Amino acid sequence: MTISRRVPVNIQRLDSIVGTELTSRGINTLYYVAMINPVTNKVLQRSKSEFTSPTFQISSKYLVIDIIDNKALQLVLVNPFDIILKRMGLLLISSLLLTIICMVAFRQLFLILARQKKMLEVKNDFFGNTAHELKRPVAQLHLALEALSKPATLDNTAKRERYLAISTEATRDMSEKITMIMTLSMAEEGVFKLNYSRFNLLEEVQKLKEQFSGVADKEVTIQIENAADDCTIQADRDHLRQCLANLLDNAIKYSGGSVLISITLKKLKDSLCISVKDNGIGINADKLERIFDKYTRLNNETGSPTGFGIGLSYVKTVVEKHKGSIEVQSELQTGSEFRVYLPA
Amino acid sequence: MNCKRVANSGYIYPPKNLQRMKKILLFEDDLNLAFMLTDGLESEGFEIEQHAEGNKGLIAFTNSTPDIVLLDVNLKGMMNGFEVGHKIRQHSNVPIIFTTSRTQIEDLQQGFSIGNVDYMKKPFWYS
Repeated sequence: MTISRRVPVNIQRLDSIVGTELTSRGINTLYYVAMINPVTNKVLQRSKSEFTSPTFQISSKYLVIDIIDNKALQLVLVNPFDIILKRMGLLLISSLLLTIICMVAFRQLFLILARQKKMLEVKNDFFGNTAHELKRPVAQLHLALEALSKPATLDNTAKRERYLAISTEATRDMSEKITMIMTLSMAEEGVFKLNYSRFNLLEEVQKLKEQFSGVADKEVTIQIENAADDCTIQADRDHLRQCLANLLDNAIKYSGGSVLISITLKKLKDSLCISVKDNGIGINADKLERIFDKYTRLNNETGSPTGFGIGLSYVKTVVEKHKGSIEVQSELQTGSEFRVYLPA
Repeated sequence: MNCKRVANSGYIYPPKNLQRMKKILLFEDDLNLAFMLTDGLESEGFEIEQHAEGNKGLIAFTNSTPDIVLLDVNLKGMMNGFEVGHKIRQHSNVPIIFTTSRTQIEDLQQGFSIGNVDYMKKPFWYS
């Protein structure tokens, strides 16, 4: 025999009892009690008729009270989330925070891994390019010395002079590249020191003009404009000359059949500005911000000039070591201008 | 004619088929290297015509009939070595040797697709 056969269920009274019980447990939310057919899930009777939408409702399991007539009771809490949030709020917020922290940590981890992979690729490229860049002058020197060892070459003055010039150029090329690599390496380790002396920068620029006007296998015009009364500067002569040589070398390499380079010296309030402007191929605006990145070659396509991606990085390192700054402006197919500011 | 091994390339210089050849068309934009190659090969009895620009070299190719073409990939002017190679192949089956430092797989594929081609990796020297 079931409960319903002995005591008829008064759902309104049951509602009232449930309300008292819920309040005593601190659950102050809307609710109703429903009598349901557990087989068909059809609601037979409910204590309150206003909550018809099943949205935001949490129902209890069926409590079967009459197996023969298929009757069961169910308690339905209407929109009890306020209470859930109040009771579990701290737990939920801390879980949410933990989840966010985990996601941020994973993101950082992936970013670091991606950066390390990129750095490894850049490092491998750099070693490959460096090996090639150093092998090239070695091979030229080898060929030149081999030719010079032949009596036929030694007897021919013009050829001998040419081979000697090639040898000199190759050794200077190697020496400059090794100096740049060593400088960057020392700067990374924090042991790079400048050897300061006082000298006239205009004289160095004029020497560079002579050096670069003759060697390139294209028409190179270098103009010097001196707007400074006094070009005397306290700096590391060798490193500064190499910086300007790198800028000139780039201007020549990244240009068409002929190139016009303007070097301007200008005295500012507390600095000396050296501008190297060319009418070469220019640099893409999206690549401009990476131009001083170490071991980065912006132009790797077939047919592009050789190099190993440290020339401009070296310039920036040396200029900043002098407590100066460098900036660049460039437009594709129009040319580039590098401005170096050094404390006067 | 003396045969020599070209260092780090595995080549016997000049190769057997080259030993009968006389005229070489050299595309090289590095003037120092071009001078040394020209001088070295001339001293071995070859006739060398050198050009630094692809276009000018192609005009020379149509005006003369070289036995072999030594072709750098980096050239002055608008055309690179691969483009020059393809142009040459449209008119002649003359052997082409790419003298270049660019021997990445894509470069090799691009070069070998021309046909009757070989590579001599820079830097090289006679030994």
